[in-house]
Amino acid sequence: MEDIKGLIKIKDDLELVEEILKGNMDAFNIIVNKYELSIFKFVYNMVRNREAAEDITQEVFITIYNKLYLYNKIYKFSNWIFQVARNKSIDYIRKYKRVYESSIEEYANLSSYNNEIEDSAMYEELISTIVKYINTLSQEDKQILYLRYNNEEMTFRDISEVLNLTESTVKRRYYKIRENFKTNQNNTERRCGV
Amino acid sequence: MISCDMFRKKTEDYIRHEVTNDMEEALHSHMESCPRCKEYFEEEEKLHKAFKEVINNNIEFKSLRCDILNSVDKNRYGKNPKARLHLNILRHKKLYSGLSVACLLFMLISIKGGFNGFKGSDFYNGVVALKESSSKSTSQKSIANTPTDSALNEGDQKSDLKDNSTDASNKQTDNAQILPQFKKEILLEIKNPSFNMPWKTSPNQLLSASILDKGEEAQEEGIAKIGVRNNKTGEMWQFSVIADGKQFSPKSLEWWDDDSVLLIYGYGYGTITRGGDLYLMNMNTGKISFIYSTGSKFSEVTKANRANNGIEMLINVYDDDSMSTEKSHVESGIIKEYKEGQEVVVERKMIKGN
Repeated sequence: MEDIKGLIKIKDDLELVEEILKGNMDAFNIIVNKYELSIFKFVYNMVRNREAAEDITQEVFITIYNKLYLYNKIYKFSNWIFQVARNKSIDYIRKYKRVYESSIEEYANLSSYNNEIEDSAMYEELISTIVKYINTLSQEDKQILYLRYNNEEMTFRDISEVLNLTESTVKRRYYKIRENFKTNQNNTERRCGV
Repeated sequence: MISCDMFRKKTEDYIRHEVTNDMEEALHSHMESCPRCKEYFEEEEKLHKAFKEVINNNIEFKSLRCDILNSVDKNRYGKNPKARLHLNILRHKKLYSGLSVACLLFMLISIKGGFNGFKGSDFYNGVVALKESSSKSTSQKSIANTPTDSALNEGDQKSDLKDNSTDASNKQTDNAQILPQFKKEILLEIKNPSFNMPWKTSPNQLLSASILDKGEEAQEEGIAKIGVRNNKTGEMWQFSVIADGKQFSPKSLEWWDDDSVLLIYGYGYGTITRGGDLYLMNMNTGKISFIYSTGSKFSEVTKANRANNGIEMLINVYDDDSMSTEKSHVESGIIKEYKEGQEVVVERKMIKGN
């Protein structure tokens, strides 16, 4: 099932890539429109600076366009974009030697959660716990979580390609992140006498 | 039917709709019949939604599309030949770079080959020779200020120290680089050749040598051989020139020591030639060492004798390019001390004119 979804996406993107290489700027426009938000969030998640994230996102798409002839069609196009975005973000972090650690406030300010269950205090509490928990994770674990839960809904194989890790490593780390969260959550509930 | 363990393993895929339709139905059926698994699914689904919401929080984002589209070169790709060529070059940059380097190398090799073809190996050898016989040319320089060599230069016949020494160097190189080669042949029959210059005996009287197939002065045309005789055992052998296209011949020899002779080796044919260049040749082994060349086709060593540890030479010099005996003179060439394999310094003096 994962593969079928992936194939459909690859075909769409491949067609767009071919069109861009034929000089069709509309195709590039579609690509930008399709991925810019995901890329911006991914980059922001890494650099924690809005302006920098915007600059890097812009740079990512310009690089993608200029180096499009180098794109290897055996890989998913989305993976390639995220890989470029990750590399650019790492370059930025190295250059400025700083990573804005995310804080609950930042998340709270930036987010407005789903209205479907926003009345549920417990759900709000869960959101808050997740935010706190994510803040404790390493950069790479955050990236795994982001790529797994972003709107692109990447498979473990996709994530492994973007992060240059093996698929099994990505799976193991992902499930560990989830397990640790549950353990923390249970411990918190016990302490609170829930 | 699937087990609870299987259901829990597949829960995330089920939530993400990443299972086949059959599996989805099976998981759904299991959930409906298993309250604990249903509760587990609801917990997981809630967690999944929460994580997804946190990750995809609504960060205020203003589209960068216009900025991006304005920043790229819109003519980079396209159907027009220029863009296609550009893309082709970009795609096969490495291939084209490799081909360019290969072409460049090929051209360089061709040019070098062309030089060799035009100038022949003499050009290259000349360069090598200049390095190897720098001291030889030094010796030529030392004698170039004599009046004799002033008249020896080719072309306009005007002497020039620089030209003279360079010319000498090149000539010496030819001889120094391409030494004459002889084939040693044992003669089964002992006989005294009737047509030859007189036998010359080594200082220790053990060996005698002569230029065979030529008269007393060895002036006759033709490629001669060198005959050697062991006076004690009566053994006899000869050295024949291995043809190298130059048609050079042994012209004269004088003993240097008990084993080697001073050999004059020059053109075997033609009447204007009287001598050649000077070599040291071992009469047992045939080993050859270069000693001296005048470096000009207008002059040749015609005679060479040992004088203490050095060599005295007679050099015939034509005064002009007519190369007539009437317009020539003889010079002496003195090598004060000679050691095999070492460069020599020659002092030349005019002796007489014809």
